[in-house]
Amino acid sequence: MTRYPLIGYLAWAVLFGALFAWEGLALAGVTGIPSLSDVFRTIMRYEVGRWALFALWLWAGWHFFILGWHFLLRA
Amino acid sequence: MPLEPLTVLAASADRQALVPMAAGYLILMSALALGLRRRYRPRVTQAGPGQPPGASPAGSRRRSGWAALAWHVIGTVAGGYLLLMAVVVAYYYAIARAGSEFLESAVTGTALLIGVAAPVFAAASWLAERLRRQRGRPACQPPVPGELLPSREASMRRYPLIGYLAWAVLFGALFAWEGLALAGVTGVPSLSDVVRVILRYPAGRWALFALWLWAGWQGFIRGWLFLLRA
Repeated sequence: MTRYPLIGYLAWAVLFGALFAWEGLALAGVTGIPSLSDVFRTIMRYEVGRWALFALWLWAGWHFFILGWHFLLRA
Repeated sequence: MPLEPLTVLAASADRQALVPMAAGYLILMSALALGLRRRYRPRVTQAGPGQPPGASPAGSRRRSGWAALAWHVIGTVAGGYLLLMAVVVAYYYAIARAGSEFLESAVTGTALLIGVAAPVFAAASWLAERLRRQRGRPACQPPVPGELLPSREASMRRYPLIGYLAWAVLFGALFAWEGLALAGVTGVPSLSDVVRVILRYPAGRWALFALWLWAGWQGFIRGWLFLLRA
């Protein structure tokens, strides 16, 4: 595992923090801010959008939890 | 080392990093733009009897009941799965020839995940519906037999475009940061590196897997009250 400076991880924390903060504002009912669910619902109005989101979700699961494991293909 | 191979290597790394990031972001934003266009354009058709305005999810216009539900689930799973496979195959052949088991892992690994997620989603939906009934809350949809479409489509609100733009900027920042990491910029860990740190501990693995399952259920299943419908 490569080691990175803490600031690199901190940047990810800030980015996800911003996402969560924006979602929090939306869920608190601040006027004019759609929640992430609203954005996803808008994307999923077309089938292609639904497929894209499902593919993204599936890719995330495969990439993080499966890739690198070979139990299914073991001889 | 001569300069030319280094340049080729850097260009290849850039391609491997930037093309998937840019393509992923563009696909998502195009889908968002299409959805917004549909939402904000003036309606020319009227809703049918008993059908709330706007309650016409894609792909279910001429279907009702279990046929609509089956179409929605099978369409989403098959479409998403095939789209992902197309992207993975294109990535493998056009951009990066990953290990020989890469494609097999993509095909079987994602199928395995669908197999794992399906019963969890069914159980979660069943539990959510039971809890709703125990609390005495009316279901958010009139119990018309055969009408199994999600009610949430009917309650879609309109927000100023700037609100959506803010989300696009936030996701753009995430994709850009990941692109920098994949391009090998010093000191920038990729999202996979961050996740790997979390996955080192069992509790982190469980939490992340639960979060992933929850995101899938919340995004693609919740709102469908088919399991306990009369």
